[in-house]
Order: sequence, then C-alpha cells, then structure tokens
Amino acid sequence: MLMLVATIVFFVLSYQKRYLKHQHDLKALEQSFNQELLKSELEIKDQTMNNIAAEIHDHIGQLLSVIKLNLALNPDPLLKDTKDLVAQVIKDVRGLAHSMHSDALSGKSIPELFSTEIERLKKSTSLNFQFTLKGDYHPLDSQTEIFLFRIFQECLNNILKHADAKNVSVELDYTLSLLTINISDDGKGFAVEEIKAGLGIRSINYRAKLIGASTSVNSSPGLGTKISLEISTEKKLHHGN
Amino acid sequence: MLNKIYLITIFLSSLTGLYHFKKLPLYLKGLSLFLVLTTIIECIGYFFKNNTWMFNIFTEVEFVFYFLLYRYVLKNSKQKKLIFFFLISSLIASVSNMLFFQGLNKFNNYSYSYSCILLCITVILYYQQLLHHDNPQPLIRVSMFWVSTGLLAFYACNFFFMGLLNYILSVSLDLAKQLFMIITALNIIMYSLFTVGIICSTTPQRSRLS
Repeated sequence: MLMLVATIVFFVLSYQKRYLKHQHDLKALEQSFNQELLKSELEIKDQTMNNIAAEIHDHIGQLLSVIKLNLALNPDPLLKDTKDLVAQVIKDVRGLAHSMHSDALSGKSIPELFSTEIERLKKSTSLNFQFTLKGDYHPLDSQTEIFLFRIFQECLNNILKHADAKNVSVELDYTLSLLTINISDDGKGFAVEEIKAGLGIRSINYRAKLIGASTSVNSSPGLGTKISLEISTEKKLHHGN
Repeated sequence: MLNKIYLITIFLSSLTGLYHFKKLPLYLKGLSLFLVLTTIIECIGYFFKNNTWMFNIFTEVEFVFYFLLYRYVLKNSKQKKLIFFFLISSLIASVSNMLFFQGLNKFNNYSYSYSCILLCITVILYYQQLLHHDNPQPLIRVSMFWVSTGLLAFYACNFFFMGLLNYILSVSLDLAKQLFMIITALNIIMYSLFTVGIICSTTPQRSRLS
C-alpha cells in the first residue's frame, strides 16, 4: 500500500516538475518570439523611415531646388520673401531627412544630434525646449548613439502626440562611467501603472535593453512626465578617452 | 452499509458518464457505457447471492475492456502491441483457469491476480507516456490520470487481497469479511476517481491529453 502511494506521489511530483518546466519554456519561447517581433517592427520602422527620408531628400528636395532655381531666374523684388521661404523649406526638409535617415546620423555626436533635433522641433512646434549638457562628452559606438537618438526621438514623439506640454527639458549628463539622459515635460502626465505598453514605450524599452541601458518613467496625472535613461559609458567607449 | 455506498458511487459514476456522454472523447464514452454495464452486474450481484460464476466471467470482461482502453490511449506502437499481448494472455489464463483449474463456481484468483499485475504494468506504461508528453497539461485536467490512478489503487491492492482470497476464506470467514470491506472501500475510491476523470474531461481546456 505504501509502495503504491509512493509510486503515485512520485509520478505526480515528476509530472508537476515537468509541467512547470514546460510552462517556463513556453513563457521563454513566447518572450523570445515577442522580442523578435518587436525587433522586426523596429527594423521595418527604421527601414520605412530611411525610405521616407530618402524620398524627402531626393524627390521633394530636388523639386524644391528646381522651384528655387526657377524663382532665382525671376528678378521681381516681390518674390524675395517667397525665395527666402523656399530656401528655408529646403533647409528644413534636408534637416528632417537627415534626422530620419540612420546613415546620415552616424559620425555625429549625441549632443550634436540632440541639439539639431531640438532646433528642428523648435522651428516646427510651439514647444519650449531647454537643453543642458553636463560633463565631458564620451563617444559611444555609432550604433549605440543611433539607438540613443532613436529613443530620444521616440520620447519627443510621445510628448508631441500625448503630453499636451508647453516646456520640455532635455539633460545629457556625462560622468566618468555613466551617461544619464533625462527628458521631462510639464504636460498632462499619466498613471504609469495604468498605461498600456504601446509600440512607443515598448520600442524605448527594447532599444534600451539592446544597448544595455536602463530606463525609468516617472509620471502622474497633471504633473508631467520624466523619462530617465542610464547607460554605462565604460563598456560602450568607442576609442576610449 | 459500505456495499450500499459502493452501489451509490458506481451508480453516480455511470450517471455522470451518461450525463456528459456527448461531450466525452471516444475512450471515455466507452468507459461510461462500461460503467453502466458494471452497475447492472453489481446490482444483480447484490440481490442474487449465487453469483461467483457471473463475477468470474465479468472480471475477465473488465480486464479485456481496460486493456482495450489503454491500447487506444497509448501512442507508442510497441506498447500497443504489448497491451494486446497482455489482453490475449489474460484471456487465455482466465479461460483456461475456468475450464481446467478452478472452474466457474470458485473465485478464479490465480488468473485474476495475474491480470491485476498486467493491468498495473499497463497503468505504469500510461504514466510513463504522460511523463514524456510533449505538451503536458495540468494533471487535474488529464482525465485518464484519474482513471489510471483509480485502477492502480484498486488492482495493485487487489493483487494481494484477491490472490489470497480463497486461502483466507478457508482459514477465517471473519477475516475474509474484513478483506471484502477493504476491497469495497477501494472500489468506492476507484469509481469516485472515474467520476472525477469524466467530469474533468468536460471542462474547457486548450488541448487534451489522452
């Protein structure tokens, strides 16, 4: 009788162990599948942005240049404002195309990329930006810098789409071994625990995870939002300092 | 008293099977019908006392049914062949015992004990299949686990009790009565587990193990 009970108990325990392991494996598989899916989404997004950037630069930019040339042939002083506007549009369109295309970003430092993007947004939106750079700039590898810039763009995109903010503060803080990026706004905020992770937040977290950075989001309704990102500069130093 | 509880248990078990009949997989449909047959036989046995011949035949029918049930639920073809061998072997042992050794009017404990061992091995093989299943489900939802556990509990104990039954009957009738009480209690456990197995097979689940 005792042997029978022992056999049944042994079977149940072994089965339960196997079941739990199977559940764990399934969860890991699901997680890896979701990561792959997100990676593909990001790749598609990057590719789409590159294509749009190329289209803007090559097609719209070209057309605008032709318009500028045509206007230059006309000496009418009444067209001076139009000529200036077209020149400004060409500049803005190039700036937009460059900020969208990954290839155009490499070679530029993070502070440069950030300030260029902020300048571009200052012109096209009503937001007030405050950009602060603390510490000495450490170069990271170009892939990491592009990822950081994309995260920054995603954060700004979220502010523009959802925050209803007036002021945005961006702080880059370089210490000896750490780069901290703080992006805060005075918008309507949100309850962090209630917000569903959409593609925006997911891509921020995923990109951060890929480059070994940690992110934190502090927000509450009516009190704005602060997104902080920390990355070790020691591991990611390109040529060392 | 215990006999009445046993009859109520088996009656409820067959009733549960019939109630959920349409939702049950084929092997549990078979089990449900077999439970109805068992209820009828047990009721006949309860009211007609000279019934040893009937139980000698019915116990072998029971073994044949259980072997066929496991032959259906086991996936491995070698194991299926082995179960078929068990079935034939049990049938030969039982028929030859009835015809040439113990006869119909004495409980055929030799062939019964032999079949008990074969059935216990069969249940262990099923347990092994469950342990190696690619997509294990919560055990509570695996209907054949409950059926198998009931069978193992009953037949593993009965191998000893029934094997010694004729000897015990010749030695002490009181001891035999106590032994029957244990067997009845084991029957109640087995049929209760069958009922659990039938009920859990009707609850929604992602994929079902046989």
